[in-house]
Amino acid sequence: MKFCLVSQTPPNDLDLKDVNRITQWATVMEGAHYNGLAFDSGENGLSYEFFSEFDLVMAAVRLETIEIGLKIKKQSTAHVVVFVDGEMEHFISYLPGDKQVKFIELLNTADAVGVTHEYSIPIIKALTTRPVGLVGVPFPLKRVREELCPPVEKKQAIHVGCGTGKSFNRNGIVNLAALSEIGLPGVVDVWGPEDIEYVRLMKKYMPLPPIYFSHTPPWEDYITQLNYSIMGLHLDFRQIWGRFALDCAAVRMPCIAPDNFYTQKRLFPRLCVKSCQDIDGAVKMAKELLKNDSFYEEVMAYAESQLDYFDNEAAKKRLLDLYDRISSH
Amino acid sequence: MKFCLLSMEPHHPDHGKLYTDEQNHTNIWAAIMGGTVYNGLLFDRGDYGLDYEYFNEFDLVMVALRQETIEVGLKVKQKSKTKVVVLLDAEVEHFTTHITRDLQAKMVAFLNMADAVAVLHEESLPFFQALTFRPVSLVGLPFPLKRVRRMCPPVQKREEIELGSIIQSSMVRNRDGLVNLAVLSEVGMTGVVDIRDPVETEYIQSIRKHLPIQQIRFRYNNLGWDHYITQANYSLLGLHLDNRYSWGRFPIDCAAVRMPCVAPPSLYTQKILFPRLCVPYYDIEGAVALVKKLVSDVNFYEEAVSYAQSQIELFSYEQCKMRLLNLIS
Repeated sequence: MKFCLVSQTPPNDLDLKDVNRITQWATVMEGAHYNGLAFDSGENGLSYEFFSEFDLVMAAVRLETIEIGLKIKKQSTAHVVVFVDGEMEHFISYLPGDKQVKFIELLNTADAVGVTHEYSIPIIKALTTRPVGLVGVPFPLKRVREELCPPVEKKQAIHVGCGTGKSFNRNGIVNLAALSEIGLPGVVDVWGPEDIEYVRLMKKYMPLPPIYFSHTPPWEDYITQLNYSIMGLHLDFRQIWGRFALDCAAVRMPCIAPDNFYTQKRLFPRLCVKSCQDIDGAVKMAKELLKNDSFYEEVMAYAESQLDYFDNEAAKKRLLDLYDRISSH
Repeated sequence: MKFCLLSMEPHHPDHGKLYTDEQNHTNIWAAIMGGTVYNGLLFDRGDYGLDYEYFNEFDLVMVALRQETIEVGLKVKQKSKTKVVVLLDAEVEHFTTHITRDLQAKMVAFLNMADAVAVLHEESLPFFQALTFRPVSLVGLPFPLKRVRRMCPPVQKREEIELGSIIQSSMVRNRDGLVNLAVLSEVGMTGVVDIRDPVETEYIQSIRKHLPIQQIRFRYNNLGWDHYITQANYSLLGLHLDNRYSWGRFPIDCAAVRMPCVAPPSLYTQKILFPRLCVPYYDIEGAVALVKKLVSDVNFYEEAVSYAQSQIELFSYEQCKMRLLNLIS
């Protein structure tokens, strides 16, 4: 099958292989990958008819790429799967009205729709007559296990899924608040000195434990560092796939998060807090993981039993199953 | 007690005067406290010709906090000697994710300088308690029940569902209007909704090219809240599958006009008033089942309304005022 992914991945990252990003769809499908915005502005020197060369185009859409998805479907003969690329709230609440209309048009013009959380299926199904399926994002488990992250001695530190974001924090401040209540040292990913300054400012008001800063990207460095922590924590409110919980499971550590991360719900059902604000629940679970080895081992054994679901081949099968539903639709 | 509210309400002729408008809006705090209202940004810009020392005249200043009023609030506390209570006047995600981290740092500084912090949802308490050393409590918004009951006598309800939101014309959030539409399509009843711009009806017509959306009766709300609430009184029930962690003005509107509301418990008023009608915002099937039961089972309908009546006193002027006074004492 000739496959093409069209996403908002920055042009320099389009050829990344075996990382936990949407690029992995192009990798596992052995296909091409274009940045939709660059393509639309003519930077590739190609017209939309070019996509007729492919059997299947996955259009990963957000606000900026909805109309690009429509153009691919209207101006080429390729089958198009819409990949709902982001938290559900982005589509149901943050898109302006005219974009929501275009989004619904695309959902009904495309051949199928792939989502990243089972909770999103009823919403999207109500908005389209096309087949809808949970596909998620393939995870390079083999590479993580065999190449990047061997078993190591874990440090007594909690790696947070977000501690400080450049523009949007994704509830990083809630993670910091939880760290201040748990008391165990934290690890926060940072991109520059201003990120460290943000945490320093917060420390003036919150009794934050020692915070270690992990400089990131590339992803390989991040996941290698993640491997050394004893657990992950991400009190995110978004209804989304949840790459972080999967990263944690891959490096053999538990993750505390809400079930609005699909990966969390599936991998760590006993570590799902009741909401993104449930600091008390998160503190209780973190303390139980630290003091109760059996609990720690049980949750990890369960996550291990579920990991295959997220591997490259399982994800590819889900996409191909959805593709098969196109022909029978 | 001399009371002043700093909010983001656009310029109003009553700013600076005794505020008497009794509507389901943040400003009602000024009405029930016998105080006044200023727009925070206009004040800061000097539009009222007053400096920050002016606030020394008041015993209590309530700052309705959103990203625009964080720095204004800081200035009130730094440049005057008045007692300041922060009212978190937006969904929690606004503060944890959607404001820049520079503003977040200022917000945390302000939460620690102010004299007390009032939240809108009990589930937000642990988070804000972790951010500040000041007292934090659930206070909420007073509801003008007596006035609404005078304006809205018992009437013959129409077989219509009042929707908390639909698709909107601006970049302002849709508040999950699409999810409300999805439920409406499954239920098969007419919906009624307030709209601000005729283009919203055009959006629905455009979507109808792709989806069989139920009939919707549009109500232009340029006549204001009084008109809205007197018209909402004729609906049979309310529906609002909103994902935000917020106070939830809509469920209390519904309870006040003696109709049940189906909504998630992330709206605090819903959780208190209609516990048997709470569904997660993505649970379309659950919402449809509840709506159908309310329509077909008179006892269930009456029990839900009756329970809400037994709880609505919690939102009365007296109860809210008592919660505020307890917080600052």
